[in-house]
Amino acid sequence: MSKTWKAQYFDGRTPTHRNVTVSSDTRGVRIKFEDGTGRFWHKADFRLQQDLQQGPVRLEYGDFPPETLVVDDPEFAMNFAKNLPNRNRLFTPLLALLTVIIFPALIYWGIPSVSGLFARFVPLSIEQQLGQYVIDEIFPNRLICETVPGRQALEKLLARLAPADSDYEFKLEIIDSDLVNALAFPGGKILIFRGLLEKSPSAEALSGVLAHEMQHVLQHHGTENLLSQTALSGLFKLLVGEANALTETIFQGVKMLSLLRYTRELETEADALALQLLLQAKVDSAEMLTMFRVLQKQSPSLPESFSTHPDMSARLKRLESLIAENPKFVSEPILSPQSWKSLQNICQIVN
Amino acid sequence: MADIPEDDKEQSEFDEVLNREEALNPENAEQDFVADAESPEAETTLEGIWQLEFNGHGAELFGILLKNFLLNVLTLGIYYPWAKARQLRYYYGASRINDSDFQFHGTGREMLIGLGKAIVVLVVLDFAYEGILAVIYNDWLLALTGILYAFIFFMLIMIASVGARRYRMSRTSWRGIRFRFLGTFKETIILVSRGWLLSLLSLGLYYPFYLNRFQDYWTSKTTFGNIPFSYDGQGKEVFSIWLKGTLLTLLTLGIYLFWLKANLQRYFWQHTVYGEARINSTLYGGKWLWESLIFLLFVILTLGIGRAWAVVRYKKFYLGTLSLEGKIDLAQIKQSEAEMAGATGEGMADFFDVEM
Repeated sequence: MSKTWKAQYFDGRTPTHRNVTVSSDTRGVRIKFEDGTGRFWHKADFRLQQDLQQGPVRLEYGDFPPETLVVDDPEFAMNFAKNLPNRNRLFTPLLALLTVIIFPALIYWGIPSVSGLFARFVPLSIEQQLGQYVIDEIFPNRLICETVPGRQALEKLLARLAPADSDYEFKLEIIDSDLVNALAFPGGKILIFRGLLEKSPSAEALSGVLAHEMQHVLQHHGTENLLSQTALSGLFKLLVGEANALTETIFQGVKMLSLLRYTRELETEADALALQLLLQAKVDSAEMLTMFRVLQKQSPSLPESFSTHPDMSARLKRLESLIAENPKFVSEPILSPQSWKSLQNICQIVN
Repeated sequence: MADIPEDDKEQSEFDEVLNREEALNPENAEQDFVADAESPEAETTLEGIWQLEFNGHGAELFGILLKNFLLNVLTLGIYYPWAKARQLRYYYGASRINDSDFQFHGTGREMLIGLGKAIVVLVVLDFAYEGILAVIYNDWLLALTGILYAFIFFMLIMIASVGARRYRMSRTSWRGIRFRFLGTFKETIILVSRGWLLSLLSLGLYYPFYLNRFQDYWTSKTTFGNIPFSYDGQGKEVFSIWLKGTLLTLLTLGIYLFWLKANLQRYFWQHTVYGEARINSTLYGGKWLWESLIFLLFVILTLGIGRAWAVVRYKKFYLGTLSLEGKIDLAQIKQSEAEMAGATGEGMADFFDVEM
């Protein structure tokens, strides 16, 4: 006969209990009442109401209101655990390990690639609305430069660079601002700031930037970025559901770094693809390098890890080697000197 | 629109304070047994003083919190209801009176369903509201919609409070017998709206009387087995506690608020009765503030890692202020046949931060 332990039995109908003795084997537990009657609970029919580590073993049997058996003796808990082992003892360490691997992987690779995939399925009309919305949010009071000859020059640039098979209808706006920058938005809208126009040494140089921005649009980079930011914030919200200020800060940091790395990748991709556009359009790509050197002087240099854009010198090097791969191609001027001049002066009407 | 939810919030926060401990650690239910451990069927009448205790351990709780956190991360938060169930099981199981612990019987699955229903309701409402805003241009109609929205919001908070309490109580047991909350949405909404209205009309003077009525309702609709709790607090006594507390709070620039809350809570506890036994509370403002500060400091200084230990300490303190004194005949108590509540209110409460 196996060893027995003292226990309390509750019938589920009143709060009083009966003192019983119990024993356990691999099939279940046997209960013996003081009056000599007994019960056998098969292991399939009862459930453990409370973790074994926490205090007494507490078993419930049957539908509501369940009968309950409470065994205080830790020795019984050990015996019980041996006879009716819990299958998932390795569960917790395995879980911790998985989390350590999966969580960073999700942020670094999972979300960007899923966003990239989804971005391709966002309809053009939605992208356009999205782009317009973002533009109006960021630059609500922008001054748009417009002259007839300037516009003609812009259209010429666009016509030359845009791939023939693209669904996108590119729209260019020159914004009256000293910023030396250009921005592409989902759906095909590109903003170029007067500062960049003035710093551009040539129409070809400007084309390099334009091609880069067009590739952002063609590759759905803006949409992709929006999607992944949304996904990351969502994930983050879930994570810090019941966390404190410190975890929040750490996760914000991780999120930021991952976003930065991610946008740098997109920039590098846009650079390489822009070069292809220039090649197809027979535009002198060496001018793109000139342009980037100009930009290099403009921007303060941050270590690459902390910037959205790849370090300019690294970027130049990459472009140089890419250009070196396609040494022979005949370039044709993209704009007449006159057109270029009228484009550069497009903002002089606005005061 | 801006004003009303604020009131709602204050109200629910207040209700929450009133009910938190009661709901979380169903200690109000402490009918106890004395002798059962020794003599089985014979002795069923308990007489004496029984201290409520929390005998959780920081390390155990830490393990649970850590595992919950990891699983939440891994499942992108879908594990949340199970995590909650696990945590509650631990808290309840570690709370005991007269050598018998409480148990929480809620499951992650039913809480997930409750949460899902709550999400559907809230999302539909939000869409409806946004949709209405998009088509209405008339200012008056807009104002009306705002009021309606605030009203619906208020109703939802009530539903969440009542629903969560019904759920929690029906899933809480002591010695195999469940608690129940038999209050209804309708009664609660009438009680609360009436209370606010009168408080407003009386420039706040009615408020303590409302608190007393609310406590009465909330307590006397709670049962352990077939026997309800009762409340014998007096409006005018709550009024004097409240008046003194409010004046001192103003004079001390708010510091006295802790004492005011403690005094009210202690009064509410001390007028809660089950059978022939009464709850006794030694919750005082100074000690309460001290323990709250320790909790906060400990969590901050350990960067959150020590939260489990801080929670255990706080619960030991809080439950330690409660005891039950008097006589209870266990043989009189039977399992209640009342219907079991669903978890939708519990799920809804998650959104309004009405922590029970």
